[in-house]
Amino acid sequence: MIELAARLTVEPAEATAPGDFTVRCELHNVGDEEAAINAAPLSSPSLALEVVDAAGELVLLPPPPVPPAVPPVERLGVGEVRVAEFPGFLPAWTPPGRYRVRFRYLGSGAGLFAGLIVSTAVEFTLRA
Amino acid sequence: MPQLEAAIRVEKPEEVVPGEFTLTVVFTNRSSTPASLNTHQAEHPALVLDVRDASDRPVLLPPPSAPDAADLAPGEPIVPGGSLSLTYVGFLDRGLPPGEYRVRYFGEFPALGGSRDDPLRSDWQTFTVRAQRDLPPGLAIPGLKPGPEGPEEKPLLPLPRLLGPVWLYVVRLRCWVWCLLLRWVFLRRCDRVLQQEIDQARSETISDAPPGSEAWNGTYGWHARFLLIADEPNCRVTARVRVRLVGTITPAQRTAWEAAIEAAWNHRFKLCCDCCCPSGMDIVCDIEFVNSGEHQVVNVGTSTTNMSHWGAADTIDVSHEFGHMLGALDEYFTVNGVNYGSGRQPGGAIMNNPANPPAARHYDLVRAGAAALLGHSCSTADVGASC
Repeated sequence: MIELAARLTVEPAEATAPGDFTVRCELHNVGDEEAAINAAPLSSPSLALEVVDAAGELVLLPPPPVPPAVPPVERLGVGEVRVAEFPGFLPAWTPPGRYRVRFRYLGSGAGLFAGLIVSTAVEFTLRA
Repeated sequence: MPQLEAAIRVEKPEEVVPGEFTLTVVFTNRSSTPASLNTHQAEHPALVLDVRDASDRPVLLPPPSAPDAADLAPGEPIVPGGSLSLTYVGFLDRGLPPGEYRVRYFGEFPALGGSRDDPLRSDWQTFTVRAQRDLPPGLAIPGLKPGPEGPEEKPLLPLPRLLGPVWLYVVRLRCWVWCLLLRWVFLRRCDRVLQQEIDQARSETISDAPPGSEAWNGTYGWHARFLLIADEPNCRVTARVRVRLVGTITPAQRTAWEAAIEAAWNHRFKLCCDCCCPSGMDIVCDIEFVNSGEHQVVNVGTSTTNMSHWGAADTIDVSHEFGHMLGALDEYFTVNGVNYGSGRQPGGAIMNNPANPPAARHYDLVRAGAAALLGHSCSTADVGASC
């Protein structure tokens, strides 16, 4: 059975400039079958991340690039991990405050893993 | 009774953001024979989701994209006891008023799991929409439409339509006389060089992304920021974007970015504003790399992933991202309710196909800013056309 799990870390936990934060997303194949995945959603922080402020309001990210004509397909063996890193994912105009970010992988495509995989949210603080 | 059973799963039904609202429909075959469902067709929210407000009025969803071959295929078999799920993202307009709504799956065609007489329907799922909070405001540009941009074609009044080219001549003559009065009677000197920092919050909701690209469905936001300079003596309007780069890039790669962007955006259109520049004001876009005082921060990486992350070796998609910095919206899938079709169409303008040049509407924020700066209305014209 194909089963994927998502994990996210943010470095550092506190910073004074929005561009200082880097997110590392990991998509684990925790099932017992190789998974064919659409790698396009992993190509942009705008597609892979969901950021909310302390009040739970969504922080809008810039639009992703124009999608490729054919989605890139990657194969994830049993136990393998696909890593996507997004340095400076937080928009420069973000005001100081506490935020939470989570990794959100929406897989789709013919013959590919289809479904929504969401990591637990990780908190970080943008200081004034 | 349909062979399939449909059940809605919603992760967070309270206080949802309409453009981000996500639900999953799980289809289970409870019968003893294989059932079929065309998942491509069933992925169009407007075809299968029945949304009602608190007064049970239907909430209209953006139209689905034109059917392709996969939409018309027989569909995928679901074995007895088997199930599959479809996820719907960003199908509600972000302008949906706050309040309580309900949604259900409703398929009344065989490809969608049911029939007219015996539709496949799920139970209703109630959700609440929260009030929208605006982004921090930039400089208010009077008359800027929220998007999609593009000058509205105003129908000609009967007299101008009847007179045709003669009417055009009369209008130009009136303009010329008024100009003469301004310059000789009111001593208007046409020597102004005006500048204004523009900071305009922009947002767009992409929906109806086709299979394989559903992740694009969602609401996005950014700030279009640039210094706008209206130079009357040189009949030129310049939009200067100061960009601070983070990451490693060679001088040659940086020069290649600049050349690609300026070749894509410069000297293609002009603004027709007033008689100081009767042939129009050339629109020039200038990207300037700075160490401080930036309008935008661009992180340098291996590929271009959005307006703030550019691939060092990329000279195609960066020109599209620069369009966002000027305030242009995307033009693929359905954006703010307008269906543009697939991305990277051979004839698509730069906000659809980054390899192609821009269209006049992509300069709308520049045009609106220049009009506010000069105190005149301006129109955008092809650089070779007359004003």
